[in-house]
Amino acid sequence: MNNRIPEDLIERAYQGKSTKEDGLLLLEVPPFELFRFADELRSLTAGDTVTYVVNRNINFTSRCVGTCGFCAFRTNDGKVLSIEEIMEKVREAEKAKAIEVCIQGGLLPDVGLDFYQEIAEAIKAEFPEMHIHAFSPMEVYHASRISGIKVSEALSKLKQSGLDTMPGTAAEILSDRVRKIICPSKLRTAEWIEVVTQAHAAGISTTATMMYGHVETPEERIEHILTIREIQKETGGITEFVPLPFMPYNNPVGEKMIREGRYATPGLDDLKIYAISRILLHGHVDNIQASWVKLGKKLSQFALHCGANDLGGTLMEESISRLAGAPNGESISVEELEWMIYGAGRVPKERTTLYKGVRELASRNTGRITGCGASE
Amino acid sequence: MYTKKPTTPEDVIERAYRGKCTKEDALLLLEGNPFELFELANDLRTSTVGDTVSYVVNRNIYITNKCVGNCGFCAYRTEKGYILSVEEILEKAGEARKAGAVEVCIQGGYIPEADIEFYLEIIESVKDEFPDLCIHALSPMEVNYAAGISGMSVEEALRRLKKSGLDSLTGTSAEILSDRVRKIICPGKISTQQWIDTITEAHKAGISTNSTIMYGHVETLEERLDHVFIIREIQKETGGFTELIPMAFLPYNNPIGEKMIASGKFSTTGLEDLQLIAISRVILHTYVKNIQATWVKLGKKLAQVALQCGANDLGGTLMEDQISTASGGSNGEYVSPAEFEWMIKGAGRTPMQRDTLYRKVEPVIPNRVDPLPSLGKTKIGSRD
Repeated sequence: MNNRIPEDLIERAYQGKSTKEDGLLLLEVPPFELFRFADELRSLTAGDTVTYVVNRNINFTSRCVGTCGFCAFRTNDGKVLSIEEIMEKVREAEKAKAIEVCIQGGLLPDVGLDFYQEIAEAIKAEFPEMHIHAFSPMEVYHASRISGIKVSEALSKLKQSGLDTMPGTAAEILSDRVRKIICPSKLRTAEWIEVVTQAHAAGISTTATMMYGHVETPEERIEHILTIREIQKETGGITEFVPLPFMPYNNPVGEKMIREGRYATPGLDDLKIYAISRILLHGHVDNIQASWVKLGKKLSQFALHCGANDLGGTLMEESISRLAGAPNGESISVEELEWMIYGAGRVPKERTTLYKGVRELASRNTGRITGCGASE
Repeated sequence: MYTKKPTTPEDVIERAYRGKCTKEDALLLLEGNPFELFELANDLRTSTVGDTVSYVVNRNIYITNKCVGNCGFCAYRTEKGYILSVEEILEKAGEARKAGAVEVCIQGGYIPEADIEFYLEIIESVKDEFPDLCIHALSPMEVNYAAGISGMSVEEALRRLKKSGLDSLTGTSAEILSDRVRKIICPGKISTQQWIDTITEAHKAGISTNSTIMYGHVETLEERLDHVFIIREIQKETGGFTELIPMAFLPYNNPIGEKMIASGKFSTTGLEDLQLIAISRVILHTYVKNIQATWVKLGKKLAQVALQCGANDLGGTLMEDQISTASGGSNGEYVSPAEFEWMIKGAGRTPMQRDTLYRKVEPVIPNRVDPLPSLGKTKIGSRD
């Protein structure tokens, strides 16, 4: 059982200076050595705390003019939730002690920025304390174009209306070669980077995501992570990195893959991505989230030993992954998240979107309603 | 500075390699760094079966979901259920054969109508029409119950079942081999000793069996380990076990599970699942060659990781699953050979189709073609 990670690679990782070659080499190292190293870095950065957020997903529409080939959620004529319907969901979330609403939806053909502003304003008017984590870089880009304003102006207006943070979704793989195949009409790599960078400049922090396990190469995955690192070096505005394995069901990209005998990423590949993300981003992005929706509860719990220090949100509802074949349910209780975290020998802590500590054990709060919306 | 200093004592490792792991060794390994345990289990697996990972193209056939049992962990049993006729069973077996299955796994609730003759008829009919199909059927519980109804000894029952064509008995109804536990979760079931006796007699009658452990409910860690050691003891005597299948308890839609969840205990964590697979490999080294990671209970992703932690088999394509699905299992009812091969190759290993007795088989249908894509959505014999 020899230590087969080269000394200089370890050294660079500690300094937050891992290279692309380091990343590629780490893919070949015996998996448990990789996981142990990632686990060590996680311990240095986040200690024994594992966080989660009590939140609610709200998808205001499945109607979308986009053409992403990996999507099973989009419909041609889905309903668009009214402000009142959105507010109903926010009220339910508030009753369930959620501190964040995560709001995203399909790209509607004619709506400009005011549509999004209205949502944020309505929520903040009734729930000034509720954190609004909303609108992907694609949605902001799309709304700016329709309204004929610059992205920076759009972001500033959204912030004024009450937007607190943005999900760093629509990233998929930050490679134009890949985007041309899986989502040709989406904003390009440079455009995504631009929107996120400007969001940070406007004081809007974001997460960063990577949807992997389709047409991209291992190199492209690593380059994506390093791109996130570069943004973080410049702005410091990324709160966490969330690798998301692609679900290949009910969408054209996935169906093609399956016909070719390629299926969802095997669990080992998922864990390696989490570990390598931790290593490459060490010193830059402190938090790596393991998504129980995509990985399943069992694997996401084990990912806590492979570099992850966060388990995401309770969600209360979830459709995007579910429709693409994710079998892991739409919500999870605080009690179960804490069970998983204790099982890893770690300490659960409820967090805010911005990763500021809130309270030690959310499950001890009386009067908590453990979520509404479909669960297993 | 990061260094990797092993913390497992040398003598523990040495005993593991010699197949002499003690209970204290096992407890120590479970308390230590999980990665060390996984590496040890992985090594033992390599030295035992090399790089091959097997799976079986099979089909589950549930005879009935009616049951006079009262197991508190069951979500499958129902009052107004179905009982398949021999014709219906033959039809399902035929579909399975067409889809390239080499085994049918026939089980169900135990009921007064199902005496030994009832089972003999099923087995004989299947063997008659499909002499090539391995019949992997029944459990010690069903055999004991049916033998009782037919007024014969378990030995006699097993002899007749074998004569009729039973190839292998399933090692289910083991749950946890501890009477303390059984009293809580399945008081109406055969006792630990009865299970051991039935299995031993099956082996002596030339019927091989697999072995199972359903864990993650009221048992203690020690009881889990004791169970695996019992399997080892039986194997020392008879050599009749083909594999061990650790099965994580699914706590939904059943009283035991609901009680657990109400007290803040949920399904076993992924770490725990992997640790049990690994420690089973260690304890059973040189005795039981095959440890199966069941995708139905663990999910495909975790089952594939388990291949690095001591498992060398991924179970069956199944084509149907009702028991786990009823308890909240959300991993589906069917995995195609092509997907198994994807998972296995992703672990850097070599896939091998096997039969019930762990012999290599040549695929009947080329793996690339998904034989019955509609089967994944079959809901035959539902609770209505």
